[in-house]
Amino acid sequence: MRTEPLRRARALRALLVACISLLGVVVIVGSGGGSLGFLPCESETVCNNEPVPSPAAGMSPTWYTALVGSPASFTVTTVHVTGSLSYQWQRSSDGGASYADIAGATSATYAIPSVNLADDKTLFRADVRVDGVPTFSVVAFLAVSSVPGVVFRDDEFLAANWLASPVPGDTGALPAHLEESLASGGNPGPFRKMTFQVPAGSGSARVFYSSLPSTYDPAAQGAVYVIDYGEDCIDLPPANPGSTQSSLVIEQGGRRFLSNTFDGCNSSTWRAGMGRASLAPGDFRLFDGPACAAGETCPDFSASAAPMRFGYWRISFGGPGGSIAHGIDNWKVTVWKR
Amino acid sequence: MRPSLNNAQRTASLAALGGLLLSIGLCVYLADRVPGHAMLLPPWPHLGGGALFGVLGQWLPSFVHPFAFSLLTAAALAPRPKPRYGACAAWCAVNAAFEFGQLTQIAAWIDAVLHTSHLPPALTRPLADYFLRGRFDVGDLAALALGSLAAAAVLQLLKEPEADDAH
Repeated sequence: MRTEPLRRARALRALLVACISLLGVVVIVGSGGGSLGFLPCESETVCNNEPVPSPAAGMSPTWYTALVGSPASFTVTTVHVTGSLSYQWQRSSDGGASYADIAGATSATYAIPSVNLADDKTLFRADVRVDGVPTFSVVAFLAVSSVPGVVFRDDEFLAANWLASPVPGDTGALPAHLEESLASGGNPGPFRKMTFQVPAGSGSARVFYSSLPSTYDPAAQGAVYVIDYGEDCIDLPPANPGSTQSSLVIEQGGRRFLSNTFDGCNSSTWRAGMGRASLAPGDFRLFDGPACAAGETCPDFSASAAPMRFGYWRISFGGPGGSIAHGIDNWKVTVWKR
Repeated sequence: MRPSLNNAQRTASLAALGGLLLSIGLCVYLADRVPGHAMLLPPWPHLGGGALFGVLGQWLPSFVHPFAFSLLTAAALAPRPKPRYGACAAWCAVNAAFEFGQLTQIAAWIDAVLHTSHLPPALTRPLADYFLRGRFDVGDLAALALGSLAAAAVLQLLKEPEADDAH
């Protein structure tokens, strides 16, 4: 006879405990908890209950190619991290299978005054501790060449030096594109402005640009070791912010290859240093042309390879019929031999 | 010497003490903490930023929280020692887990998990804010352990003389 009231009392207790538990957790989270409380506001938005950016660490540069005898330095940077930071740099000569501490390398920057061939293909890793707790691990790659690189560059973009090849969209329609060489407004000085119109029925416009004077002949000039690529990019009005990407193009033997380092402009001011260093054949993918045979190195960097012509590729994303403008300056390709 | 109270009086005492402790914790936040820096702290500029509780105010909330919620939970539980002491241990563990979650490495991991979860942002955002913006402190760990022990001591003091787990 007493079972029902007892059951009710138990259910009430359970409900009460659940409510108190929930309230307890809400109070912990809602109060910020702890003696130190929250960090000082990084900006107005952070303290207006906007999402807090995650702590992160980065390496600069992540890839680097250096001439024997020249200096190299790598710097690790952290964002949104509090607490005391400590660093230990390590190096690996076996592709990252094992790392050894570098004696005395305990600051945010690790500098090598003069690289030598023993440093080639070395991975440098910074282990970052926050308040003594291992928190981040970031890696950089160093390639070393004994021969100065062959440089192709353009910061004037004369129309006669460039060939534009639009790529059909999803419906087969070619995007309309306009290229203008402007005398000022670059980074600094002249630059090239490109305006794409997204074809009907498509979500993007793609155009290849080939630099007519930028041809490297491995048979005559020697096998390629790695390639460094850099450019500056900007979104221009009428821009669709963050919608344009760029990458290096190699044309070789009737094939076109794109580097896998697609990088977005994402900026209404010049974004310098887009691209990547130490690009190897594995960092490219075939876009069009004859398929690569099994075992064939594509693109071919060997001394018996066909000449390669360099350029860049731009893809702009937007609604059908939309017009997207962007600019390029300081286009630079460096071909390194071993 | 234990006070002579019946079960209802004991439960009411636990609840009242828990409520009083929570009020003290609230005062610390309203008087000594910078307004608007936490979800439940109103951004009223005339409140906060002082030092009413002095140095103690730094760790008082960490001490008070497990203390108060252990007592409130114990008050809601059946008047038996085992579950009531268990409440103290549970709140100690919960508070410690939230404190350890503020270690940068763990906070970043929790943030990544929350971002990839399908939970509503109204839930994940304050949680991510708590872990990412909060700072781990050993003093908090000590304070919350002391708070839990204090709650256990109060339970011991108010324990029914003949109470045991056989009930």
